[in-house]
Amino acid sequence: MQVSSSSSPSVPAILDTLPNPPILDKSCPRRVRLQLDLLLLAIEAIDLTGAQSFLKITKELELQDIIKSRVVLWQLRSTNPLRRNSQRRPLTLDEAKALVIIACYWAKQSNATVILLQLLRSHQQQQDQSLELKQFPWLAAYLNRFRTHFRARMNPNRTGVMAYDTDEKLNQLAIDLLRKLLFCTGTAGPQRIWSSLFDGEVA
Amino acid sequence: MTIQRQYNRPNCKLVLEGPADSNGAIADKENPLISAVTSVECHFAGYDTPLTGGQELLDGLVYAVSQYVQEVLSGITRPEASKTKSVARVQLQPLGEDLHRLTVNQAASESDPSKYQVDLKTIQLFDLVETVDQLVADDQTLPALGVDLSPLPRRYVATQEPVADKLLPAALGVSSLAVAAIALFLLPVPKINPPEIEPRPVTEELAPGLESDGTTPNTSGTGDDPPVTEEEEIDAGDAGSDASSGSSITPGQTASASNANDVTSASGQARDSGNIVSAATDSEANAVIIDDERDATVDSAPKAVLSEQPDAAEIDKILGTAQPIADPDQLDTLTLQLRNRIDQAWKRPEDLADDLIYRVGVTESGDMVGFKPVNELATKWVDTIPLSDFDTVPVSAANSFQTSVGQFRVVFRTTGVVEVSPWYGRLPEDE
Repeated sequence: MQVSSSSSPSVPAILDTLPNPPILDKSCPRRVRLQLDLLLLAIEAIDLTGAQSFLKITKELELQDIIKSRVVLWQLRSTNPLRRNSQRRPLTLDEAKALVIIACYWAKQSNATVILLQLLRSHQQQQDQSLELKQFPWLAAYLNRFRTHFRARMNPNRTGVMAYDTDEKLNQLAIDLLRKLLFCTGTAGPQRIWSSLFDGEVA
Repeated sequence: MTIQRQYNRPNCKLVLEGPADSNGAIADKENPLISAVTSVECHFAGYDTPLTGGQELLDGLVYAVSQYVQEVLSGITRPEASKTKSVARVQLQPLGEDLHRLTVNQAASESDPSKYQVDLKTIQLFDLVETVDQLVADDQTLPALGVDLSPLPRRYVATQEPVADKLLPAALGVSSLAVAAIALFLLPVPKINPPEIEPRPVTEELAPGLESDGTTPNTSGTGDDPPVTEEEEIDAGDAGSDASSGSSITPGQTASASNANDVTSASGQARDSGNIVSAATDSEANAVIIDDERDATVDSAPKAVLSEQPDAAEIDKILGTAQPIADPDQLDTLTLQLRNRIDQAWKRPEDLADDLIYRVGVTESGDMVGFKPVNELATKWVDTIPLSDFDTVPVSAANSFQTSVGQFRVVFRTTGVVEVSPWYGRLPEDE
């Protein structure tokens, strides 16, 4: 595929692997901002050094023009409306693309993919055999960390957060995000995730 | 030459076979393209028999898997429309949260409705979609093959929301409004209470009238007062020639010289002068002894004399709003008067454990307005002290601001001594 880098020279070429969805304003809808932040939150629950990993990936993929610093990354993620300190700034398409690519790049790292598969298999086994969660310490640790992150960063007064008022509901969300991260590792993972974010949001 | 391509994943293996496309410009001997797919095999881990078919199956499989995975990712079901018959042969449905059923109609012929069906876990579904994506991404095999990954337009999502969900907020709103309306309907309409304390100017107008006769405020506007006029006309019926002067005679008019002249000119002179005498004494006794018959306007006062002691809360209010007597001489006189009265009447119980302290309100004329126990024992022993036997002047909280009241501290000592002192103390020079 010929990349038309001439049209917007400042935009890194890797972003052009994701097509611009036909939305009216060039900022991302609420669901996109929410889902992207949750996806990164799940990664942080798996990878204890997740925040550093994101910045490292940013450098490797030469996305510094969009995500200049840790603060900018935090600002982008804080466009999630459920955050405690939710930012009113919009999330541009390029910024959202950068976040998707970072998440997918992280998931495609071989060790990350192995962990994702292992966690999902543990969950499957636990569900199939109705075993106790404590028999799967890795999965239990992931779920525990995800719940902690979620509760620490999301505003409990928002209706969207109140929907996850129990451990079970948060665990369910964490598992859903694991599945999405698994699909991120695929050949067309970034495109599929990117497209799914805009399902029902385009004209 | 028939070539074979395999796409392997741990749980899924896709095998394509077809003749090599030797005509292609970019075809090379090592990796020729497949010109047409003759056979497709899809092996699933845990299932012995593979899914087999041709080009049609491949198209259907690629389309169905791709679309279904987008549904799984976004959680939004895609509409069934716009699928061609051949594509519709391959179907994927969710079976619970972690299970997906792949169904393929093996309609090799019309008479063979057999189905190929596998249930896939999410990880297996991922392997299936990954083989498909690898095939699509592989421009060495079938470069023409592609998948549509455009997002689902909004109009398809809007129709998926059940009508019940859409109506729920509206129904909730209407019903809560109805509930609120019913609840508010049941509440009584609040009464508007006029303020108990009237503005100052009014009281100052009334005060002189009260001081002069202590009975009725309407000394001048006599002809306007129907009850008085009527009664006096009947009483002094023979004074028809001077009805207006007759009607103007009320017991309280002794203070007014002009009214007194009227009285003397009236025919019922003797009777009226009798009234005047009684009114004079009345004013001395501060409106206590007026009889009902004479004065219809002050009908509540005599009854109130007989009424019981006002309760503590009312006394508090009266003592708080009444104008305090400040004159030290008057206070001394009242102190002495009260002390003598109590001293004579107190029976001095022998088993009194502690001093009894009361706060007593007294009018300028020495009549008690009310009293209130100060210490706990005083409440208990209230029946043994003479204060409860004393008559009280009817002063209600509403009109107490018109009355001057002196407040005293009355202590019944265990030694049998009665001590009376002004509640707010004496001025220093009087000590």
